Amino acid sequence: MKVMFVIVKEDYIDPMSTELLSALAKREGHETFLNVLEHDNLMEEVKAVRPEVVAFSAKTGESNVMFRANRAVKAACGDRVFTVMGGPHPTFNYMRMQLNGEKLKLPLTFAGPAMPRVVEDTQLDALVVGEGDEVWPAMLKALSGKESPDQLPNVVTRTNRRPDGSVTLQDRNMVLDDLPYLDRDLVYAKTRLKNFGMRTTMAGRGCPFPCTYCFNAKYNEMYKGKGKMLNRYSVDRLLAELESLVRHHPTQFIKFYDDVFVFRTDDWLMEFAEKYPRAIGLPFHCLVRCDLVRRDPEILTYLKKAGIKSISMSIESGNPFIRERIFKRGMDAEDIRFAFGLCHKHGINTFSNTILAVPVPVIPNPADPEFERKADEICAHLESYHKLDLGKLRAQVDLTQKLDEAAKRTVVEHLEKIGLRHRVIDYDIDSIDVNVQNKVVFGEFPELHPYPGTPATQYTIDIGAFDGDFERLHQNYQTVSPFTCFSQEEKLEQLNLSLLGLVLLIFPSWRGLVINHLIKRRWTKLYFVMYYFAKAYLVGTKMYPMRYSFSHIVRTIKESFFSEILKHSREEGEKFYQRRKGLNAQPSEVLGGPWQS
Amino acid sequence: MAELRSEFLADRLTSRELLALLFVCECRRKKVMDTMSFRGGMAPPAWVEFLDRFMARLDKLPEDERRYLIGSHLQSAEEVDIYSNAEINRLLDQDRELINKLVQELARSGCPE
Repeated sequence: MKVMFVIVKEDYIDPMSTELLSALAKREGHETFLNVLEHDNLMEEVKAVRPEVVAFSAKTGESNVMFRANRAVKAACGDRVFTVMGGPHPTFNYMRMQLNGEKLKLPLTFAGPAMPRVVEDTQLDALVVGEGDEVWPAMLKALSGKESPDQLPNVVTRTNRRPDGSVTLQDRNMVLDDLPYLDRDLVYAKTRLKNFGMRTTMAGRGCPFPCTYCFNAKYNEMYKGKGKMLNRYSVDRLLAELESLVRHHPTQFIKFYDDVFVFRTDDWLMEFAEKYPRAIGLPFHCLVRCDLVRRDPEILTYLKKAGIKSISMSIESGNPFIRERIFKRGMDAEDIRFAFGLCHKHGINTFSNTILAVPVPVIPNPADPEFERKADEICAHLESYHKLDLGKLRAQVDLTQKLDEAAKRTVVEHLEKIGLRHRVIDYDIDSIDVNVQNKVVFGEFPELHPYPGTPATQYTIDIGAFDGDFERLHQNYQTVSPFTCFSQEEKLEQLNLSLLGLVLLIFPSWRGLVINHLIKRRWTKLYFVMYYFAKAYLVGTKMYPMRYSFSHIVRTIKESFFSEILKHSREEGEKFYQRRKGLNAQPSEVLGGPWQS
Repeated sequence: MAELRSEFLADRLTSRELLALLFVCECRRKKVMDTMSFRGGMAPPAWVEFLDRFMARLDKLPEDERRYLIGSHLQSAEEVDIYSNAEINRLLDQDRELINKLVQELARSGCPE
């Protein structure tokens, strides 16, 4: 069979899921093709290739672009082509994705009162929920034999959809070594990744930590009892694939993209540190957690021995209330200080992600005539939602009565101790300060965006900051906050700080100027340019240093500058997708906007 | 896997029991089990150091979050499949006496549950 994979656009990271599915399909004797909506004409390629299966891998935010593409394919080819979508969006949203005319039973994934009953009219033939690589070959076999895939686990079709919305999931794949090598040729043949020196790979799968902004908490709940959560390739199998990669494609740098590359010093890490320099010998980057490094500092010793150049350790928030109570990171300021300090000692360049614009209550102004009522509301929220024990404070002050200045001060100090701040932007300033204090070399400061299935999203719905309409989200989280609880001025400050935060890592002495003046100005475009050049400098020299010809550098700057604009600007992103060829459906009013606009 | 969600043994363990299990797993991994003794009322230094590392971040959390976080460390650093009842039973049986002692110590020291 001919299988065409569709991705929205290329980035500088390998689309590993597509590469794996292609390899699995080829192993079963099928032919595979790739269409990149960003620069390929989908309908022309469908006409030329005449695929029997068109497969989409969708993240929330880009899903509607793919629905549009699918609608175009189905309009032209009808049932001659079987279309299927997998990836994070259907995994966490399949219950409200209508395939073709069937009635869906609502309510759906979220119980929040503000959840809109939006049904996505996808016109797909099937959805794949969860890990798709196990069921993918069986699905292709069924389709090539003109059989229905209805009996397969993880698959949702219009005829097998259950009234209660449940899906049978296959056990986790715990033997990764049996998987074929990623089919990078499929992607490199059509994209700029061919000449990009950094190759992305993964040593394993799974993350057990409960970070609330991440899909893993929900994913692990879905897969509870379905096999070991963490599974990885043997060192020999991993290195064999990397050797093949380096032999066939120009490679200067390896990026291990596992959520957490290593959890402890174990036989695997020691073997990796021994063999990687001899087998591959290229500088690499990987992700770990600060608390794990503090618990087992030897991790860094072995990574250094293996030849690590740079490392990701996310801070996520410098504010203790957000980090512990909202994001549930399970690490404290000392973990962060220790881990970054140790990286500096080892000469490992550090990269940290930090999320700004998190909806959190602010401490009321003592001069506010409604101070007592507001403080009481906040305390009630802290007690009921975050399960904080405020018994001591309640014993000292009665918030139902008018308070004198001393009592107000007691309340304010107590809330400050918990981590609450006086202004919305103060939380983000805390975060920037922690990055600067820990001498983070390169940092990204995106704003919180709610994605389906995450506890943080449920939190934002519960407090009324988000209405649950995911289709309104921009394709990327590095743009203005979608939350209704922030004023326009606050959103401007957050957006500016998300750009200038990186500049402050290079020029920490600009803190006063940035915090007190620049973030209030409507000079976001200028800040974007400053951000872009700071990023280009740090990525190119500290994070993923590679050697290129002058013409390649100029071309990369041009391409990456445009790519960053699309990430950061909703308006530019909309214009871009409206210009795409081959999507003969009307574009919706906003990128990722409701399908039936 | 035939186990149903309600049947997971790990879901019925308290955070104290999970923390004790985590400590025992760490000691086994580091091959220091033979130094685990509370003789003379003195806590082994490894236990003191372990509590020092974990308690600061655990004691502020509600019980369900404490259990989740300890479970994360069991699954990652100790490579325990906590949703395999057979595996959890085996680990608990292996060092039941020590785990009971550690749970008592946690209760005595005021570790929340």
